[in-house]
Amino acid sequence: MRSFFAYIVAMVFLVLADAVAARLAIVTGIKPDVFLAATVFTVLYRGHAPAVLTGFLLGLCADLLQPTVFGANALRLATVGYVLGWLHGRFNEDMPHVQAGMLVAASCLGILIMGLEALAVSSVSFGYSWRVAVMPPADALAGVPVIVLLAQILRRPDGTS
Amino acid sequence: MTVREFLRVHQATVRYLGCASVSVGLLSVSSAETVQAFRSIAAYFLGLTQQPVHRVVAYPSDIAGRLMAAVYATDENERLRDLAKRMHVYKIRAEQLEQDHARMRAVLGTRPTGMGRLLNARVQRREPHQWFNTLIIARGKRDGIVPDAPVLTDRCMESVQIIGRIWSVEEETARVLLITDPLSGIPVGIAGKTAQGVLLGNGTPEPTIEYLLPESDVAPGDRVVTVTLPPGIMTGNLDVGSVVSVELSPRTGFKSARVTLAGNISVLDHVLVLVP
Repeated sequence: MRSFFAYIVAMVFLVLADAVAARLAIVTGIKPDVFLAATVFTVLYRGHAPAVLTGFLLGLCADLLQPTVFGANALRLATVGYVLGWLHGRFNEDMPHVQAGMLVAASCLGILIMGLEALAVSSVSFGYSWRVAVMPPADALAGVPVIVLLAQILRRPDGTS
Repeated sequence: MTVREFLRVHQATVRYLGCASVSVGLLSVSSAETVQAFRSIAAYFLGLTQQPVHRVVAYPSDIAGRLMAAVYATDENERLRDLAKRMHVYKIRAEQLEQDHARMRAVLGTRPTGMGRLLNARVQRREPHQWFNTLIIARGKRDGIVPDAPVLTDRCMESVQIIGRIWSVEEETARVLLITDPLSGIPVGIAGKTAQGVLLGNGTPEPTIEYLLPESDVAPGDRVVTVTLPPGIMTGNLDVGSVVSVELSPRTGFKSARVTLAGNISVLDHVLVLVP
């Protein structure tokens, strides 16, 4: 039951964090991907298979919240979870530079997948602009605190995340 | 290796293939109305939670915006002070104009003595293909407008000139039949003379007075005014225009006179209606 409430709190936290990111996007022009950070958190702390499912569900959530083509983010985050999931357990996930590196890799992979989706599906838009270059560091910068907070929210009774 | 073992070993791959298939399926039906409706419902409920967050996040930027505005406050204050001074002058001038206008209205009001009150009406609609025929004013039964009431213009401030009469009345609007319309017929006379006739429209800015007796003394330049005929509602002594030319029709035996209108019938943004 405690775990269930923790997931609810984590979900609410992500929705609110996405709202904050959307507001920041108005000022800065760049929107850090909160759901990508949550997927990376699952990759680092939960494992390969959960990362795929979590990425898919978070992608659906992102598709609901953002004016994108429905299913585009689901495919992107599921793929990110699947590809980066192979790296689970190979690094110390508590190290910030590991988290940042994973976020940069996830962001780059996400951009690649979105580009491929745009090529395959005409309704998926992909902006070839300076934002694409700035997105990975922005995701890393905003994603590390999100991962840290998620690790605190979803801390297990034995103290591990 | 059994299927169960295969699925357990390749759990992530199987899950990914399933998720990817569903995603591709969603991409192919993303424009479906059901999907869009579902998204709208979700956005509605999620929007409720996002609004407070937006406010909280926006607060610091609002503060920054106000601080930036404070820097320019002095300049803006100067500009507003200057504007306020000018507005004060405009206000005094507007009050003077209002007084002048009221005085003019009083003068105009006394011109058609004892014949009711003048009601200002905005021209609501005037069809291009009926420019010299009819127009619609934004006054109706509710304002006391009655059929056949004279419609005047006061573009020339020295006097009012008749330009038509009320043809039909609705609750909030009324249609005016202009004196230039071929259906229009108004009893008119020559100011200072006994000659009388009927001013008939012909679709041009110069209607004609018909049925003038051959012996009537009508000459170009004579002022044409309306005459009161019982039981009509048309009020007498309203300025119509002046005679341009007079000719005798050998066929009918009557004289007819072409009249140039005193009121500018081409440009009408508002009119006056003489209501009982």
